[in-house]
Amino acid sequence: MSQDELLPEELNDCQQALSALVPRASRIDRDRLMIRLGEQSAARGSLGWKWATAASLSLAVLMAVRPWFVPQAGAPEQVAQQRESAEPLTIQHEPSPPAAVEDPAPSSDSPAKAVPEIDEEGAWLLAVASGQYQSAGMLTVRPQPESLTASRAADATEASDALLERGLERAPMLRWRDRALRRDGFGPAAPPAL
Amino acid sequence: MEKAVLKLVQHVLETQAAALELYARAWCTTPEDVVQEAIVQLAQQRPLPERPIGWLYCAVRRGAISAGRAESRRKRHESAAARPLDWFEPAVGEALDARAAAEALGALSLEQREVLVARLWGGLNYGEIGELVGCSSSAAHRRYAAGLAALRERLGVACPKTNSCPKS
Repeated sequence: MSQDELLPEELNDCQQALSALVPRASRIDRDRLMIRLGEQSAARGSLGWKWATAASLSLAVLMAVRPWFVPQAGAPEQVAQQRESAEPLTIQHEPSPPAAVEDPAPSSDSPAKAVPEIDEEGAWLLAVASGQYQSAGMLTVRPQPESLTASRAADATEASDALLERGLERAPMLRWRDRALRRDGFGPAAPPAL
Repeated sequence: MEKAVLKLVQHVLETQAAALELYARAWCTTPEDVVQEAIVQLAQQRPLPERPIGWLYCAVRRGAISAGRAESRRKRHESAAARPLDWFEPAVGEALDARAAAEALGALSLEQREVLVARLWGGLNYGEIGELVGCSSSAAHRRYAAGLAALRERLGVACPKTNSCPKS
């Protein structure tokens, strides 16, 4: 109010007389206003649920469609299909050059990664697991002079034992082996409990 | 709705709605709709403005100008604005006649009128009025004083202290 004190006295009187007038009462419909405010508040509150619903629905659709567009290399089902389509199982190794799968990012500074080698006895087992382990760069296949068939399952069992000793065996590999042996008439009647 | 917003809306309705409507009448003939829309906009603000009353006057000013333009397009503004309106409650025992005051106020220039309404009945200070109308607080004060002088001249307000009660 400091600037009001600067007003001339006659204007102060006029100001007081005018401020004594009361503006006509508001014609705003309070009920209508409150309804509008409630609508606005409700609309704002439900927005989060709409976004959450849309996001979860989109995610569900994405996950449902994903298997058609992203093939899963080395999946057990795919390996089994390949196995059934090529009866009897015959693995033909090319004489040369060796089909070696190298470390995807070899480093000259770090010591070389120990990549185990599988003898020819393990080729049958390798055929089952090759999709997974070759893609992972964990195995190196040496060229084999002859073809192997599923009838050499006993040799393959020995090879799997050798793999166990080398620390490469995995539970899925054993399952695949036993499944194939049962299908071909070899091996135990029931799968081992893993 | 949050309680703070509800309290603010109720406070505005009780203390400022009439003044805001009077302020909006400078530009349009539907001040109720303009003020209501401004209150709804205020309730949507997050966070709430630091000075909600000043914010409301700004919103009402914008809305009233827009509404006045729309009315002008419909060729109704001129006839409606020219009508003498009951802007004030009938004065009982007051020095000023309400209708005469409304007519005198309506005859002022828009700049003086909006400053007068915002100061006298809105209770804004000169700084807030300067922000509202886009001028400095000193300019707002000058406009206010000029508007008061013009009103006094039109209404012939008596000044007992200066005329009949000189200082001894």
